[in-house]
Amino acid sequence: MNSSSRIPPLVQPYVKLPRDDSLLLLTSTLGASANWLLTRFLCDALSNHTQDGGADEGHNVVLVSWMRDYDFWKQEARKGAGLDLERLKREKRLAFVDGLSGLVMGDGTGAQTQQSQAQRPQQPQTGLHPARLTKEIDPPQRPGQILPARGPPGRTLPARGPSAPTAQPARPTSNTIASSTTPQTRASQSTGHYTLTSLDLAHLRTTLTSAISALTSTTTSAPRKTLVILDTPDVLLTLSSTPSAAFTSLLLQLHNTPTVSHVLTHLHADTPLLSPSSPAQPLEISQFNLVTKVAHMSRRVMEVRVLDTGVARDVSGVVRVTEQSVGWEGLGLEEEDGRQRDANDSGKGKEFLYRVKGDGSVKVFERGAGGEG
Amino acid sequence: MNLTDVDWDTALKAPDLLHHLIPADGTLPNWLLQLRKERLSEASEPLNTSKKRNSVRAVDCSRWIKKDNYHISGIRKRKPEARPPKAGMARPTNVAQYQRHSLQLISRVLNIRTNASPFTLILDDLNQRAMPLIGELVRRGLSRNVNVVVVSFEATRFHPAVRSVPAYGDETGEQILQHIRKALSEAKESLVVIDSLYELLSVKNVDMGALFNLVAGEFASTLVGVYHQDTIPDQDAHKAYAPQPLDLFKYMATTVITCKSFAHVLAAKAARERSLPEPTHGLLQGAEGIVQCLDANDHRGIVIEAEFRRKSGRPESETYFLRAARRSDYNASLAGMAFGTLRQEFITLLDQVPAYSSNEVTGLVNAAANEIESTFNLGLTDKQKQAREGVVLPYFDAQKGEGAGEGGRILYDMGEEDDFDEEEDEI
Repeated sequence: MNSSSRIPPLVQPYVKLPRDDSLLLLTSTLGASANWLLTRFLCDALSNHTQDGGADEGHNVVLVSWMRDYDFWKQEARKGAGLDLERLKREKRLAFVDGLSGLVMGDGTGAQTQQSQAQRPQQPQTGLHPARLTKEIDPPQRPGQILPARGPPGRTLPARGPSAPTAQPARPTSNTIASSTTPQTRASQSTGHYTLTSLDLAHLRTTLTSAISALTSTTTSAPRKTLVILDTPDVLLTLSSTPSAAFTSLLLQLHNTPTVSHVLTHLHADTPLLSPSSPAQPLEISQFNLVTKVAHMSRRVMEVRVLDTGVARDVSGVVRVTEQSVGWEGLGLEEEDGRQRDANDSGKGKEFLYRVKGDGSVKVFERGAGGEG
Repeated sequence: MNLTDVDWDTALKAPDLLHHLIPADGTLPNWLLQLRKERLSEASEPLNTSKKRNSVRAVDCSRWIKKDNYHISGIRKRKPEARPPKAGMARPTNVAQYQRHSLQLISRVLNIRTNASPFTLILDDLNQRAMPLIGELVRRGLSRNVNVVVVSFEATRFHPAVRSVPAYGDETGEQILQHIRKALSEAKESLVVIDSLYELLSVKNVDMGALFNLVAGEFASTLVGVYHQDTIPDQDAHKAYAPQPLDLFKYMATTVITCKSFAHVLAAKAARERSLPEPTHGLLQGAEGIVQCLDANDHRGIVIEAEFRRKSGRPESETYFLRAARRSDYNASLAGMAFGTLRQEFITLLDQVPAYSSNEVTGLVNAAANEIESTFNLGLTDKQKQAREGVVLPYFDAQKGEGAGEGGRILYDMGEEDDFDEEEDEI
């Protein structure tokens, strides 16, 4: 498995994970899918860079996807990056968390009855809290159970007294960790494959922690770090109308897990989602705030979009990379050799054009350099 | 007459004075020899101090580093501000004085001087994040042995010398305040950095007044908060009568700092000179799929617009340029401290930055804007230029000149389709 041949040389330095632990953001639009880039990230993280002196032996990967099922990723990874996900799962290098089939697609019927069973014993538990709290818990979960959620998202935050905080529901729902073990055991039947059965963030968190710990327990000598890829979690947030702050909090808690070094989040950045209409809708606000917030937290932002000038036969889209190198760890004091490096690339963002071919291979080139040469 | 008060350097340059002082035989009087000896021995030292006095920095490190900050005994209180009494509202009289005054203001804020600014509000956005500025503040705080506490909503990994209070988890506002109190009680003077004020207020429901009282009042420390301008505040029904978070922060802040990317400031200046609307960047650009601008977070440095609210109520604002810090800007760190003290203040006024004030850079930006945007190539290749130069235009014939008398002759070659007109004046 030669990763260098699969990853286009121009994006290679940006697909390679930064040396220090950090968060990354990848955005895409409807016309320009970022799946090719995600598979390149998979490819780089899962391959062993033995030529680098053996210290860097790649990463474990937990891939969570809410928009695509496992078969899609299996094919994409095989076609685009030459990865055998099945084998990697058996080797415990990779774990896949399926956010799609258990929640939205056909076989979710079984999951849903299980979930409603799992949540029934939860009701007396929450009954321990004052009655005001149970009223608050209900709305965020109700649209999760009745899919598709058609109710207006504004309903989740009903106009009540000023004592209704948005962060409050997060705490009582952590009680569901104990009660939602039924889908949990079902999910971890096959190695490295998990299925999400609830829109609850606490459920997502327990699933992810078990997935991460199952991976790292296998490596013994040099602990291999884990990369968590969250593919389009905005779908989850939209369906369950979870506030974006709750999700970013989960993101940081994940990143705080000692074995997790990088978290890559893939979000949608389409204009209709990001530009609020004149009375701003709650969904638009939460999506906008989510994207900006994750971008603020991220060290590197990669944006995939269609060509500004319109459709072209030989160009699929534009990929833009911007970096923010000053972090809390180094506090931005530049090393002398760091200044040398900065003088070369001047810290500006980069933009490339790319073309995804039918066989899954990708050609990345500078603007004006021409696709086919 | 006191001899030491006389400016001998200039006085001795006047030849007639020398002639008067020195007798004809060339021998110097004894008192003059002695004086010269004294002055020569002192010469090196006073020169240095006079040079240092121009720069804005503490001369001795003994007052600069807070020695026993972590040994708590006695009462925690602000020292009375010792300022020279001024008559009225003295305005700086010339440019140099004004610049020095402005640099002094920002320098006090950056160096976490006591009383400089109890609550600094930093506004940033994706085009220029506040992190370079925060890093500078924290570094200078650490270099002065100030206890730096970070209330984090956005980061998990920190410099080891920084004390972090994670606030992104399930902690309630009360718990966060308690954590802050615990962290503050370890030192006499602290710097509290909150990396997302909006979340503290709207998600954790922390009362800003309580926080300000705790940090600035009770512990006599400095509070620095970051607010991302590209956050859309929640529009909840029950908050309809409360002020918007940003308004509240701006109202409370003693210093408001807005961060801008240097490249964007240059572009805006170029646009202003051409009386064009200022360009927008990043999310505001409106192009689909663009989150961050290409020249966001400029590596050269960060432009900050600061508004200082003085105790008298007089606001002062100025725009500064803070370049990326280098290792050579700081002295070697003492044992047990993360960073050495600042060697020389390196923040400058934006007008003093050569790249901003000279026309060269803005000229480049202008030139880029002057290019006509078109899908056609209106330029000429070298070959085309040569061909164009080779064409002989008709009037060159007329200028060849067989004398002045021929002037005004019209040269005309008949074409096939031309019909010779008899009645026309002969050519």
